[in-house]
Amino acid sequence: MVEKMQQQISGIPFTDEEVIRFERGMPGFRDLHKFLITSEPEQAPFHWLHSIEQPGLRFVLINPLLIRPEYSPRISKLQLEELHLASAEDLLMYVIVTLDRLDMQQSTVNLCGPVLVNIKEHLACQIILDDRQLDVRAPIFGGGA
Amino acid sequence: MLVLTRRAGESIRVGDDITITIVESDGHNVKLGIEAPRSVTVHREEVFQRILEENRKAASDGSEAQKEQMAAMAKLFRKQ
Repeated sequence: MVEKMQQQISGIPFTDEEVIRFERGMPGFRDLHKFLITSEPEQAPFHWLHSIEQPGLRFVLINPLLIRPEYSPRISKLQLEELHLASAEDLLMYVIVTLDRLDMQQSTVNLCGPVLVNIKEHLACQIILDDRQLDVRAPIFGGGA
Repeated sequence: MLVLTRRAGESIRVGDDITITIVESDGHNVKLGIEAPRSVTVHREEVFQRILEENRKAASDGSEAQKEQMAAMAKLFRKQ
């Protein structure tokens, strides 16, 4: 029997099967392809997106619908093809949170660059939405007022 | 930077399979047509830059202080 190598990132153990692959990286991080999404109960509904190739680098994610229930970005067929998506049920959508270190209430989400994940194939990409109605720095608190 | 002069209707080719055509131009605006393989993404530069800069800003070092901040933010969010 072959034992799986125990790997961990920031103290969190994971297996290769849990790794999510960004084929094209993300703007600003083109060379990083392997990530892990983790959640901790006390941090819900926020999640962490950890880079496996650059330990220590991570992003904060949240389901955009929790902040903007009306959010429904136009995703092209091409963008979905990249994820080899067979069924809409396999699609998860997140947005990246920009934490404000001085005042967390000023933290924002990037609605122009959602992260799409095919949870079945473990493929992900960040898409770029060219829509002037959407904000790269949409407030999390205060409902955009 | 390579600078080429083109007229409306003329094109340039980038690599083997990307063609950029000047569809129309007036004094201020140039309308471009871009043909590229499906794997090549095309964006307005400023839109791409905005995402890139925001990604860099959002990248966290995962320090203990930030973990605490996250937990505090999550608490605040759930209360909302």
